[in-house]
Amino acid sequence: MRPVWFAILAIVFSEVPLRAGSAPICAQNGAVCNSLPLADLLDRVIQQSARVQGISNDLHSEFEQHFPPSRNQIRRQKCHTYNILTPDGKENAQRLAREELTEVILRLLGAWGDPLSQLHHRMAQQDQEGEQEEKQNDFNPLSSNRALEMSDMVQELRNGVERVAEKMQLLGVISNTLRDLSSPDALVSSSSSFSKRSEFNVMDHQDLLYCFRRDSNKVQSYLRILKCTILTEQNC
Amino acid sequence: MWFPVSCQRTWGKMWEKFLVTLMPLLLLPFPICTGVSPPGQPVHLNCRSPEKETFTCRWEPGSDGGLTTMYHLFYQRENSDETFECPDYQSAGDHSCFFDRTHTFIWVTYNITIVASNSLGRTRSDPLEVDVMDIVYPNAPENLTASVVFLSSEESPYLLMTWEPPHGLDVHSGWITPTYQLRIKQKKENEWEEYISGKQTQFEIYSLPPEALFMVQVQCKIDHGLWSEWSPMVYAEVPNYTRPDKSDWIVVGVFLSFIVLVGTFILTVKRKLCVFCQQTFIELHLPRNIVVCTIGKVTFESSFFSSIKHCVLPPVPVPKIRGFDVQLLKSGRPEDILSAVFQQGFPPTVSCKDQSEYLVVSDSKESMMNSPTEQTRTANLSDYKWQSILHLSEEANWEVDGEQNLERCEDQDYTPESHRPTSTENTSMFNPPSFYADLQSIQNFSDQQQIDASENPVAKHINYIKIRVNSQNNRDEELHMDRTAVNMFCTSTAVGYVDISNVTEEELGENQFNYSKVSGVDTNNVLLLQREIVQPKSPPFGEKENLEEFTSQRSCYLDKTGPTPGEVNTGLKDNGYVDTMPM
Repeated sequence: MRPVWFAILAIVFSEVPLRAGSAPICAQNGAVCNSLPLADLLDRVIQQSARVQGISNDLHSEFEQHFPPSRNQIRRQKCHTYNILTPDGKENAQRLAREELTEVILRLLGAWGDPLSQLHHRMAQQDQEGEQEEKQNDFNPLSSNRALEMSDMVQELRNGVERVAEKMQLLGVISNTLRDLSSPDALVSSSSSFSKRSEFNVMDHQDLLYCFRRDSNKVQSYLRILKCTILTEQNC
Repeated sequence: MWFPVSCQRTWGKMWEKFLVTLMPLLLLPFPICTGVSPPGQPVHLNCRSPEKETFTCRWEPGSDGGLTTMYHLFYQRENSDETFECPDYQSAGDHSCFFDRTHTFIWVTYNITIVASNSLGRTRSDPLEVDVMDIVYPNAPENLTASVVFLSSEESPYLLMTWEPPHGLDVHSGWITPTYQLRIKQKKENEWEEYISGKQTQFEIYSLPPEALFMVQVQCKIDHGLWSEWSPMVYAEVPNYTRPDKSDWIVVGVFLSFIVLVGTFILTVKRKLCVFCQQTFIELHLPRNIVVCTIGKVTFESSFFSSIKHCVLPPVPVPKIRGFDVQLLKSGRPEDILSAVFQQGFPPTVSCKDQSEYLVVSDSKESMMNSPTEQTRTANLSDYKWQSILHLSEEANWEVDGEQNLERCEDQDYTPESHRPTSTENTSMFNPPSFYADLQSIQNFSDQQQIDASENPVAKHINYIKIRVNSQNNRDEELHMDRTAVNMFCTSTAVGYVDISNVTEEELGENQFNYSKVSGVDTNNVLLLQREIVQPKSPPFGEKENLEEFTSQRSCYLDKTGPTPGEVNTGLKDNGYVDTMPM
């Protein structure tokens, strides 16, 4: 009986991806997805950014529960992405050219790659230290896992947006003036300010999460506007 | 003295006490309290953005201190020390400040403070830090309509609800993507049912009960913000229509048939399993109508299934007498009766060990590991599952005949004097438990151990054991473990040893098995091994004569062959099922 069940399950699962999108899933490592239409790509990327924002919200609210912001001082240091000029309203975002908007999105996502992985390591380290010292650890031990998840998802989102940008360039939707943002020197300015920070403690984690929450919200809004400026109004 | 009450509120308690105590002294012509004071602190400062493009802040004023108090809102933006004042105090009503698009910056932290001032002083509220992305709180969706729609193809209507996003939300440019949630209730019910509609602005509900009044509300949410207020209630009435009842009965029918299928499957599987057992391994007798199949040590006992089976399909007791041709008997002719009873072919004289229907009785490993001595080969009586055999019902009559054989065998050196049993009658009935206990002591014995004769003298020199079981069908089944007899008394072994040919592992070749025919089964892993006595004239199981004949046969046979210890009695092959191992 069991082989029969396995066979049935195998057939079902092999058929599902065929039926679902009617398009093969794109590989993420360098392969350009030519088979997916741009609208689908944008949809997937927007869904991914929604997930990222959801996780960042959860993490931030968890931190706020454990460390309530009872301090009265004005919130902390600047976010390390402050030097990336971003439109801060709908009209400003709509006024930006598509190339610039895409570039802003990619810069934002690129600036968060390193900090998120460092955040995860710090949180994992704190968890371990807490266990070793056997002190009452208020942190949810899953928080560091969620930070890791967030870091991975941001990386995937970045890859996805790069695919979108390539596709758009291919289709002529945007001009080819996009700089190659995956090169390391493009990200030096934003990440260097981050790495200059000397210490990490809980407060910095909270600030970091707040900054990330904001930036993920920006990315999501920009992506949505990008989609609706590129596609016709019916698809939006 | 005119003492306005308002003084008590604004002055501290110390001042109150001071005034009270000094009141007689302070009979001043002019009033101390002017009834005015600096304003109280504005509280409950909150800001909301309905569409993520503008936002409004509201506050609750404290006491005005009796004077006209002005309220000003000041704010600072993130990373800047410049202080701004509210651009619009009017648009949103009293005690509010409206930030229009030009003054609203998303993803920027605002630090907002209200200052209440009158001629006597100013009071600051607690500052509020706000980022517009966090305070998105949309208005309720608009234009909710609920209507009952009848499709011409089907008779059953459905409830269609549509609505629009709240006023002012910019959905078309993708800036805002609201998600919606409905709640529906029939008027007679107490609890709402909630449905998530996602991004759609319409929703359908099927399978409506006739003559029902539905109440519907909808709300929306933006990203991870707060849910809006519920929209105003909308009603929809379902007219009376004949609901097709087929669907309900179809569901019930499918459910019932499924149960029936499962039940028949269980029963048939059970039945097939035992039929399988019957054909391949075990001859089933049905003394108690319990279907039990035992293969080796595995028992497919399922009293649960059998009880179900008995309830549903009570078995018809059929007297099953082997070797008895019912059809011949039914024919009624006297000559057929005899032939029916005494069939030529019964008992079947199968002795070939290649018969696949025999039960393989395998020795336990431990017994095989005990290497016997050269002279006395003893075996663990558990080979034959003595324990379980004797665990029979009380219907069984136990007989042990230990003496008869002694006299028959001439070759023996054994002198039965010291071990003569007190009672030689074969009607000595042993209670199964005591006998069981005896045999258990036997069972535990190993190589050179003598049987403990303290309890049962007869058991000491058991050479064979005949167990006669009176079953319900008045048939006696006998069980002869006469292999012991064969070896014991016709070999020059010591007294009191039960000499059973031992089966060691290396001798247990592939094709060499001990075969015993199982005459019956009982509960709990019980096997009744049967030895068939093949008699040319098979009188129905007369004990003594058979036995004597048999034993005499045995002994005579043995005389002729002069058996070496452990040599197999090949005569057995012809007579019974038992095929002992050559040593």
